[in-house]
Amino acid sequence: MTPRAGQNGQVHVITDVPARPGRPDGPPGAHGRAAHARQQRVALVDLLDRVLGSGVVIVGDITLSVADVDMVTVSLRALISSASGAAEAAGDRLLPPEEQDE
Amino acid sequence: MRDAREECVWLYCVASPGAVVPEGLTGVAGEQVLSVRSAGLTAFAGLVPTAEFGAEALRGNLEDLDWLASCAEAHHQVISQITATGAVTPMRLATMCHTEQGVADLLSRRAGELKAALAQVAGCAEWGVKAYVREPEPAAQAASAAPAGTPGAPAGPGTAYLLQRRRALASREDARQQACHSAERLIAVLEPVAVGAVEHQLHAASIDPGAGDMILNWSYLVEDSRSAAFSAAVADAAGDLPALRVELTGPWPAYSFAAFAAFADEERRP
Repeated sequence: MTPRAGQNGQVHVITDVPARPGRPDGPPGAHGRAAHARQQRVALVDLLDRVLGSGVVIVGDITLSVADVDMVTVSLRALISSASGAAEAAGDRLLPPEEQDE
Repeated sequence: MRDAREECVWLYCVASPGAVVPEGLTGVAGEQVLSVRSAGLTAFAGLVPTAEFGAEALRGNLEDLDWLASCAEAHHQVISQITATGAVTPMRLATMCHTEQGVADLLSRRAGELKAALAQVAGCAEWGVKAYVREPEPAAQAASAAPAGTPGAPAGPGTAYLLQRRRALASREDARQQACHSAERLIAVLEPVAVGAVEHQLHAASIDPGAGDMILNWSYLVEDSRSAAFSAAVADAAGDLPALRVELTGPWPAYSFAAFAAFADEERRP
């Protein structure tokens, strides 16, 4: 997968979305790992935007279809809290300002 | 769902009848993906253990981010591989039937809208366009702040701090307003290049804390013959709109243009 920010710094194209979350193929170093973890999280949310239908990733309860029987209601609040926790664990807070500004 | 059966049927997508399962394709439970044909349609599905994927188990598992991530990824991989062989309308994650006969019944019951959805996405792919507010550079903030001082008023350190803080806030507000105008412009530029567009929810800032505020999150359905033109339009617009940072993702299976959104709502009604 192409890392974010191309030469023009404007458009970031991902053509093989998404990376399997948790796959440890990022560049070494705390900043690299943090950026990679962030990128995977974003790729996961982009995927969930689509496979769960729109309107699910902000917060709250959603309903998934169990086609011929009944509906399953789930909460994705966990996603937001886990994402925040994962960011800290991965060292996002250690990123220098220029990387945060990307 | 009664969890009495040991297996239930997980649906991936629906395609035209000629579609076949790519050899060795496995799904969310590592199971062999199979096809179910009915009403001139082919559904791709898998038999998955009720102990993990039944309604009761699913309630808990979908709350587990790691489980959800690997399940969504596996679901996506199956749909992507079948999409590579022809037009596909994907199923929402966790669309399930008790039995293969239930899948066949679903195809018959929903044949009209499934065929319409397949016709719409044939020869097309989905592309994601996200835009973020480009925060003003700290240097630019300082420069624009410098000439705006209050003449004649001796500014103590506290006053200076408050002025600087106010200017920084004003500068961010300006950036946001410019980004809003730019986002409208971007939407207008891309609309004629695509055959469909769907707006997604904006991501919470905690998803990508360094990215800036997301201001636009859309999916576009683009004819394959125009995908290069679409990418170029996004790149050109991004170059013309410095108030935005734009990201393009894709090509995706046509998730946002699938039949499932409408019929999930309908199936929900008693």
